[in-house]
Amino acid sequence: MGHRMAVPLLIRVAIGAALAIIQPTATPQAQAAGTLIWGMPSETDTMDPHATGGWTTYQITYQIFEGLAKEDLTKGDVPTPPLVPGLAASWEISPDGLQYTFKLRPGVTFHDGTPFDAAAVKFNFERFWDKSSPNYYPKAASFVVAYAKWIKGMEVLDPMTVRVILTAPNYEWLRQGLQSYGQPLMVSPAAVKAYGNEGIALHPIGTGPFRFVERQQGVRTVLERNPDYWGRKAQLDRVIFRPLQDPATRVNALSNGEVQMISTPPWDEIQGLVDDGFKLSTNPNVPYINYLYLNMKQDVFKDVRVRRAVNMAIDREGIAREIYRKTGRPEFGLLSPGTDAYDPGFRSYKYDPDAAKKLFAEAGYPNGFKVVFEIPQVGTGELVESWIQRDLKKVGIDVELRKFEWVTYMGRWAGGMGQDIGMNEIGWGMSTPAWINIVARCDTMAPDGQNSGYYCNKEVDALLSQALTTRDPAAAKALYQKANRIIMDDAAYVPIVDDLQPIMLSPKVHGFVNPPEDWFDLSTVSVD
Amino acid sequence: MVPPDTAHAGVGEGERSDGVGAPAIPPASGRRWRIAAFARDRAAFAAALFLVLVAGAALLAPLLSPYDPAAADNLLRYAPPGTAGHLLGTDAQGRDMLSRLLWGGRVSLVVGIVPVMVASATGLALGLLAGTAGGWTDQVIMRLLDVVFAFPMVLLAIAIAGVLRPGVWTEVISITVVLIPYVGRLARTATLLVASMPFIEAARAAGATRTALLLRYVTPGVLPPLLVYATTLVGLMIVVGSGLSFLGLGVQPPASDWGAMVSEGRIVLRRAPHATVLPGIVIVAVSLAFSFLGDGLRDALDPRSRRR
Repeated sequence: MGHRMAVPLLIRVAIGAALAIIQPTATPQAQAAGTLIWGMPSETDTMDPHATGGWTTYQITYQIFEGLAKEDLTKGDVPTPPLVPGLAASWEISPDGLQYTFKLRPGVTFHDGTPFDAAAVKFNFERFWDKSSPNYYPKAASFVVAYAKWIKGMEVLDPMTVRVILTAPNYEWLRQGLQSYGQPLMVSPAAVKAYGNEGIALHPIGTGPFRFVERQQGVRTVLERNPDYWGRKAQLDRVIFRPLQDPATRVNALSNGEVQMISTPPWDEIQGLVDDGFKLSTNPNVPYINYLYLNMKQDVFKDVRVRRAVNMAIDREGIAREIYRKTGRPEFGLLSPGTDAYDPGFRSYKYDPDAAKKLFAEAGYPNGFKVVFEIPQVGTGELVESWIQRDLKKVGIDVELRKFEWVTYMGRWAGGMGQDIGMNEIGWGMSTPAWINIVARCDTMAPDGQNSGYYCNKEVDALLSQALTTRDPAAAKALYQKANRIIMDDAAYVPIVDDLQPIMLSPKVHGFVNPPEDWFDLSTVSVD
Repeated sequence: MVPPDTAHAGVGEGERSDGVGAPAIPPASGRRWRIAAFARDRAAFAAALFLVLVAGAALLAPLLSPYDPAAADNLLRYAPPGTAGHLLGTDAQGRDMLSRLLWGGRVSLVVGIVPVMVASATGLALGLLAGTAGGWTDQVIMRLLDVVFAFPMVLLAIAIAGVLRPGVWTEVISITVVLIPYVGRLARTATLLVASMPFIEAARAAGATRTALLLRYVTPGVLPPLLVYATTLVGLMIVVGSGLSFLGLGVQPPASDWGAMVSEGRIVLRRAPHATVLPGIVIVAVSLAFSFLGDGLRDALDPRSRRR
């Protein structure tokens, strides 16, 4: 079968190459059209950018909605997406860091024709922040919390100027707003009035380069080019998002030409698809790391030598090479790679099983011990977890894996590890270094935050607080890196690998950018 | 692997066969007759032999396995069947397929057989009690079973397994609980049918005690349809069990059952079909064998076919 498939494919590649030679003069600005169909691993629950916390939603809503500030996702080779003016043409931050004055972009209208102005901004802030307003939507407020909790007041200075007053200085505030809680993007006030707060989930009306056409839950979501977009107009006529949960189905759909793009391809299929002429896109700075929490309340892990030894016993390079097939990179710290603070040269613990064994013996466990490792069931056959289990077995640690279906797992993880659980894991991060606050501070210990292993070091907390109120990015970076070194010196976590966000594309797709973010700007894409 | 609806519908179908496995009139003698009838049924006999072989192989897995089922060879992932040293090839982690199939069989068979046995015994007891006692006892038992019935099967199993710690025995307990109402209903229906038969009336007239009536006359009539039903359930439960493992509620890695092997392998179905197809074939073969066994048992136990 392989041979019969190979011939037409070669021909196709040859024709493609010939066409490329024939049409070198075609300007990229010429009305490139086409439809991009994207096979996604999961269906988005809602299209209301205020009332969701999920990447799958942002992958769609980024195309439809914009915020006052936006992350520029048209650059792949930057450490972190530049923060650029979106619906605010500019903004000024007062010297004390408490007042943000936004000059709004003139001449912008929502997809339904509603003009964008200070009243629209006010309406949106009322929706996700102002409890006293009739427009307040508690669900939105609960998701936009990372942004809204810093807001003390909001006022309209003139029809095109608004001011937001913060409760305390936070120089990551704008970026935090664009991270993986609900995003403070601008929703058409008229649409909220017409469809109701819940209705936005199915009637997303914003100002972005694409506008919503239709959605069949579980089948597809269709967007089309917004011809009246204020910025650089989208190339594609249409974008269709198709949920294809099964990885094998996604691969087949791409091979058959049913879709032109798939995210999270199975690692072991990537090389084969590349050999078949499909394009692999990755980004080394995706703000996302896979790491383990160690339960600091468990006796064995109270000893720092044990925690360090666990860090030394796991062959991260091997996992990145053999399982991720080079679409992963060994990770040694707890800073998210998609941030300016990330230090790619940082090495905490090298793979050294002999040294690990010695440390275990020193700590009083010459014969090892048993540990329970809770993991989510994601359907990939626990390749990485079984690898970790084998690596730890080599140094005498018996790991009992306990799988839970995703929703149950999230509850257990967010609730904090029980006394009998030694380790758990998550793949997470944000494009702001302030993310580490949620994971590693004393006051974010589960269940009040996502510090699931109860790590607490006051020195780290002090450094992180200081970083948040430091306006100079270089100084803030130094503080984050220092906190990261202390955390890894305490070996409170076991970072494993960074996922380089492999995306497989049909050779017909051009202009796709894989930015240091978990969602993309599809306005630059065209399809032959 | 099995979508909840399908699994549920599957059992529903089984349940519909209540009437088909009509209770046999218990003969005073003729056990030998039945064995002979069963042995004459070649398909059923072959199925039984095959199952004995499979169970034996799984039982002897520690002796028969060429490798530790958890030992991984990263340089030899997805080796196709026939690779030197790996008769059936290797899986995604470079683990020997044959060894994993043998060890996985232990889990799959336990998950298929134990819950069906326990649920059959419990269901039989409840069904007999409800069917013979009647009145309030009947009402209370059957309404309680209805409550369990009301939940979709897999959902209920997930709920039970969610409360307990994930593992093979959790899986066994969940499936058992879920199966009891199905078997219980069947047993009650059969009990009512048998209890209304003339020979029961005769036994009662002859002065048989309640216990004797129940144990000596009613139970033997209820058993055959139950037995047939139970054998068809085994194959289905292997698949349901795989579904629970897939959801993380059953067997924990690096151990595996056949269903978990299918679900792990399906991700790379195109590049390494053997990782999915081999355990798939085993599941189909074992389920079919149980089904043939059930058919054979029904024929052998059915007084009408016995006369042939």
